[in-house]
Amino acid sequence: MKLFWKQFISIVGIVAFGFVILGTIMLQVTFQMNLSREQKQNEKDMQMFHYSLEASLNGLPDGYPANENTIIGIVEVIYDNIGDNQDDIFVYQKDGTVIYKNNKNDHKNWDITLEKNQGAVRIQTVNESHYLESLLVVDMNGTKFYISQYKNIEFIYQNQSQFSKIYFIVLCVVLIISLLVAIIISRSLAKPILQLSNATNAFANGNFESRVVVKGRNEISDLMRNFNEMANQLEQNVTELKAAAKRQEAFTGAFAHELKTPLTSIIGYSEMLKTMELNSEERIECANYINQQGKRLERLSYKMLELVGISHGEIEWKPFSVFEVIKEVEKVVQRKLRANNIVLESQVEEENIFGEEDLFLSLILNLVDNARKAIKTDGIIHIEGKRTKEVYTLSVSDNGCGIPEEELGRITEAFYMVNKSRARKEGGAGLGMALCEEIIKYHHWKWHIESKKGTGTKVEIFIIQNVNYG
Amino acid sequence: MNKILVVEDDEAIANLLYMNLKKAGYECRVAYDGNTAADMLEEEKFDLGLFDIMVPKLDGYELQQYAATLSVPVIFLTAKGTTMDKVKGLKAGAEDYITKPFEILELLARIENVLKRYHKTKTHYSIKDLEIDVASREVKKGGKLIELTYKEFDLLLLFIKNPNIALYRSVIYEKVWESEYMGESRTVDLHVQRLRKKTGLVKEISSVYKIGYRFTLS
Repeated sequence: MKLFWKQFISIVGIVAFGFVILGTIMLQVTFQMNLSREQKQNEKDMQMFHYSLEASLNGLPDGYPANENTIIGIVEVIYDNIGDNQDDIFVYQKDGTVIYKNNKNDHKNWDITLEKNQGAVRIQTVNESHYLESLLVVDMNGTKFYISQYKNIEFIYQNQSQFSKIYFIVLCVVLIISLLVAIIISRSLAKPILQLSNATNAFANGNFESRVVVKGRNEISDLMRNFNEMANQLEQNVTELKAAAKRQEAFTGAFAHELKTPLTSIIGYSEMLKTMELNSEERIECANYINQQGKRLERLSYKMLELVGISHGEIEWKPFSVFEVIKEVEKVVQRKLRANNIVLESQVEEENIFGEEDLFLSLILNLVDNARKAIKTDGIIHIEGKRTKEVYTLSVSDNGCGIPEEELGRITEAFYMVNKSRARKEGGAGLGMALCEEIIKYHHWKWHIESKKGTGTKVEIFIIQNVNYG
Repeated sequence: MNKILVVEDDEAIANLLYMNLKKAGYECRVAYDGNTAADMLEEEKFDLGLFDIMVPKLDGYELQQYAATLSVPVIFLTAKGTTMDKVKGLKAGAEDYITKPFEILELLARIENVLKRYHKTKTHYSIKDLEIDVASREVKKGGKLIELTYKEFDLLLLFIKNPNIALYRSVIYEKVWESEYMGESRTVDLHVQRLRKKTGLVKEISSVYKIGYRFTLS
């Protein structure tokens, strides 16, 4: 059964059951109280009647005939004086014959032979009217007379039925109200749960944007809030995973492309050498291409090894001098730069950096090499190193061709080349910047690339020297 | 002579295609980027386009769309080798899709197929004193009809369509007999001997040591 119906039926059921029980008890108690009050009153009246009767009998002059008429007369007198004129009075003889009735209402004769005791009381129904019937025994000079009094107590029953009617109406109203309240409560409980259920379902089916609208503050809204938070977290994770998978896929695709391109040439030209009648010129051409593309593959494999090495290798961190590294860089690139008429200026403050020296050298070499490629011929490469508080900033800038703004975000992607055909001619595999990024990430440093097409590029590396490193 | 436009940004591969297509008897033009290729398509008449997909400026798909308006059939030649890439390429309207690295023979066969579909292949060849009609499968030597068996004719066609390329015995067997070569079979040699004798192409169909045969056409 649905939660809604469970709640609904429980609420209505409890209210209805409670009201019926309560009402019944109340009605019954009221009735009983009224009745016993009447009975007590009646008892008192009867006692009074009894005393009056005794007194009257005792006060009779001696020799006054003790017969029926006397008793009837006395009864009438007393009754007129202290009785309720609503009541009926019957006088019986010992054998049960009625010798007097005040004739207001007819009543069934009481079989007094069975009830000879003083103060017997019973309730009788005559003409759909309820009467409280009391019996009084009088002994007059040895002759016993029985006097019964009928007190109309119909009003108690009438009250009872009146109350019942009112009670029934109240019950109906209460039931209707409880029905409405139950619907509202059940709805308000079931609705958010249903919403939550729909949202989780959608989430489970892959709609990671599915959320619930949270209202108020109770256990369920807390649950919904928690769900939303969980969903946010999950969505973020999934998005990151997807992005990572996409990057991985892009990398694999690009790698395959970079691998297949030289392979195509190598296979193709070698096949030609093997199967075709070629003249010596053509043979040399084929061999040259094979050689050139083989070297390209070699470069690619070296770069890949470096890239993989950073993420997997166990590299020892040691403090090293920036000054020494820059001197090494100058030594390595000097010949190439001079050939293209490029000047390398360096203004480096000495600093001991904690990290992997060879990786750092590779990083700077890559940046200088990129700068050289950007300049082609005639230009200046400037290396600057400065210390400010906790950060040592090393920058490599050039006045080369620059990087188009829309390409800046992609240059650290593996195999991404701004100018593919030219990069190839320069022997690039499109891995340099990706490698730099890996080296910087490995050291937990930060970097920033600033470039303007036509005026040059500036790469800044922020080397954060953690005190823990000593 | 069929004219083919090669669009390939990698110089080594472009040259490889150029040399091979030339040897196989096609006229060939090379473009290194999309824009140049589009200009060439506009100015000259081509029978077939052989496009790399990832080329600068205009990519292969866009170029193919343009070639389609000039009703030039296109074969994509690319390193993107996933099924999705192939489906995308073929859906775009390309006639065929060849992934790098490729084999020259396969490339030539596919080019031949596309040209055949567009009725651009030769149905008639004249070599020395031979007149070969592909449709009627008739071969005349010096104006006189010579009798060739079914396999001999296929063998002759295979040589003619792949000039200057050494054909392995296994390749010949698989292409002509259309079943797997089990090695050591003399079937190929026997048929080649007969074909040489009947057609008189003794010098042209030369045996290549350890490989098979080559049909040389000057």
